[in-house]
Amino acid sequence: MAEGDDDYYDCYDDDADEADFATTSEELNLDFGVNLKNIDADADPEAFSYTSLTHEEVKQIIRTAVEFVRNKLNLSTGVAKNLLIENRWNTEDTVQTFRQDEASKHVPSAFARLRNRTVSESMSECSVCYTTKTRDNMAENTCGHSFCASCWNSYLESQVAEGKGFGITCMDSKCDVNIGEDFVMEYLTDGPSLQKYERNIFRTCVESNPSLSHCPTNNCDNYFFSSQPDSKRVVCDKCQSSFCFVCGSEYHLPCCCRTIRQWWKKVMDDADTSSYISSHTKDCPNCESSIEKNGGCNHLICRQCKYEFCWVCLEDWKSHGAEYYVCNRFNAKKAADAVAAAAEVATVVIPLAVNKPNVRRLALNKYLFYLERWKNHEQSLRLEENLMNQIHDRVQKKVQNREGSLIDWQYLMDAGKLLLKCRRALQYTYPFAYYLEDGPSRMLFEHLQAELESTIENLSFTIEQGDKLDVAALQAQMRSAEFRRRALFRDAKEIKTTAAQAILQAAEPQKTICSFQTVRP
Amino acid sequence: MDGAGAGLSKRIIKETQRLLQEPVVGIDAIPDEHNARYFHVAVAGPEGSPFEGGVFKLELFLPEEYPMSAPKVRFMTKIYHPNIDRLGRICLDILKDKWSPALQIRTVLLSIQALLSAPNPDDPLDNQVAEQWKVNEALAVSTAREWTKQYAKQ
Repeated sequence: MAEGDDDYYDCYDDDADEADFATTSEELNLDFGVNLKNIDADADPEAFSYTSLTHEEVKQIIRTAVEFVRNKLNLSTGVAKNLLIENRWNTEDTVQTFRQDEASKHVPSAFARLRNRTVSESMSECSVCYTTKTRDNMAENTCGHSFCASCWNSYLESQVAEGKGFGITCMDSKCDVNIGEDFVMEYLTDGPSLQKYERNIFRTCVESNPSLSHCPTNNCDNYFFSSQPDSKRVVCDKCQSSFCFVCGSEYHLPCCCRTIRQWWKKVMDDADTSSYISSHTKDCPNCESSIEKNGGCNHLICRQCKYEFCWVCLEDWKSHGAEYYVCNRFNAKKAADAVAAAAEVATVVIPLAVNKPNVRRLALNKYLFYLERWKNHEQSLRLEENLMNQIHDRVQKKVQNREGSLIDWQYLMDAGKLLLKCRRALQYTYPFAYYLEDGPSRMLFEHLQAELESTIENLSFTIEQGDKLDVAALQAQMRSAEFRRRALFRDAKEIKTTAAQAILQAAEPQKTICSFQTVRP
Repeated sequence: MDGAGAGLSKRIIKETQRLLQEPVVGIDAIPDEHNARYFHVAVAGPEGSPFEGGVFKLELFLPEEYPMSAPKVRFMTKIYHPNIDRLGRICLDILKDKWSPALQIRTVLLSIQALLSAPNPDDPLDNQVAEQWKVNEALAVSTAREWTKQYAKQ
């Protein structure tokens, strides 16, 4: 390895096995052993900037926002917190909405303002336990409904036991005012219930705040803040798990959270049906009606058109001639044609086929086409993770045998990482494309996808060659892969899947951002 | 503890007394002689409804957590109603998530009476009955009348 090449490889830390999926802005400049600056000046579309926070720091963010609203509107802390949760922690919206609601009498001021408890009659009957109590033993929520302290305690305890935190309403049957945190703290006396309540409400605070996210790993008490929340990859610095900032599930760009949820659900729901249909039925090669084989013999006669054909190769039965009952030849050309036909079915024929009787078969073919590729990349990804380990071992051995230092072999590690990164991206482009409407944007996306795919296959092949590999060729491939990955993501950002459009139509997504960015540590 | 808790709460005793002193028109609710938390209920089919002329037996049980959790109520008499299933279970919001400790046995029974007057096929418990109620209301009503005659005799 030439000394002068060093500046190509010095951007990686030696111990970087996590967090190198360009997660923070500092890492944007990672260039996978190739200088990308002249490829394109734009930032990596997958890059995401976030900070990790402790439980205490999140509490501080919550406290600051609550204090702000509380002072501005003269409310109790509990009511202020409830309003913030409802307004997804946009403090300006919260103040504005509350003032508007108050002006239009949506919220009678009595419901939420800090009230001085009026001491009237000395004794009154609690309408839950039917016991007459002194005024001191009665407690009034912000809505003005009054019950005795011991009934409030039992009620709150039972509500918390059901898993509620935010959203416990007044005990009165016709009142739907949410009970504030301060009221619960005062009247819920059972220690464990109180702790559970605090956990529940804290979770709701984090979940309702779009700029906050928590690590989905069990028992990992780590939180993340981003001033530009997006469904991008977060790597937990405590437990190393990697997930989507918005939905907490596996990282899934270019699919949006909704698209990937729909896809996962579909894959799970359809697993049985589609595999049954694809393995037990075929289309008649003559009239294209779906046929389920009901006997062992491979000589089939279509009930619709009386066409006689072979179940195995789908050829006219007559063509079997001398090898009458033998059909074990693998015909490469035919296989290639079948693949091409499948691709065509998936991309072109579907829109034209709406009036044909086998629309369902075509829809299934389309689904299977995408599913197969999704699974294929998933499997490649697993195999390439092994490859990564092999590369690691190989490099270690070379270093031990004094065949260059770790830095000299860094390019191999970089190539492996880039391969994994692009492979994952490719895997998730299939559900994305599945939910795209036909048209020019889909064609462009699939073109970019195909380009990345072919580059990646070349790269994968080159890396697997081991010691014989051509370093210059590898670097050219890496450069091209990185370029194409970025192009693909930039394009995906511009177009919406049908699933994403559905939400846009249903309701404008709230892009509220916590206005307390300044308090982050 | 005056609210929920061991033994029979003051609330249950008072509520039972008031229920016996001022009964709801068309509804009998009598506590079981061995278990004061168990009530034998009889609801008369409301006038103008397909259940008119019938008397429907129900059981009502106050769970340990009452009034923090809702009473458990079930029809013992067979009834053709979109919100009541074959086992007599009732689809009524105040018996589930809309329960409030400030509600009482009395309000629950009044709500059930109201449900007989106004079946709600859009929030069905028995899908078949609800479907019939939507597709052919006249037929559904006549079936309900027949069932009332057959099963809910005085």
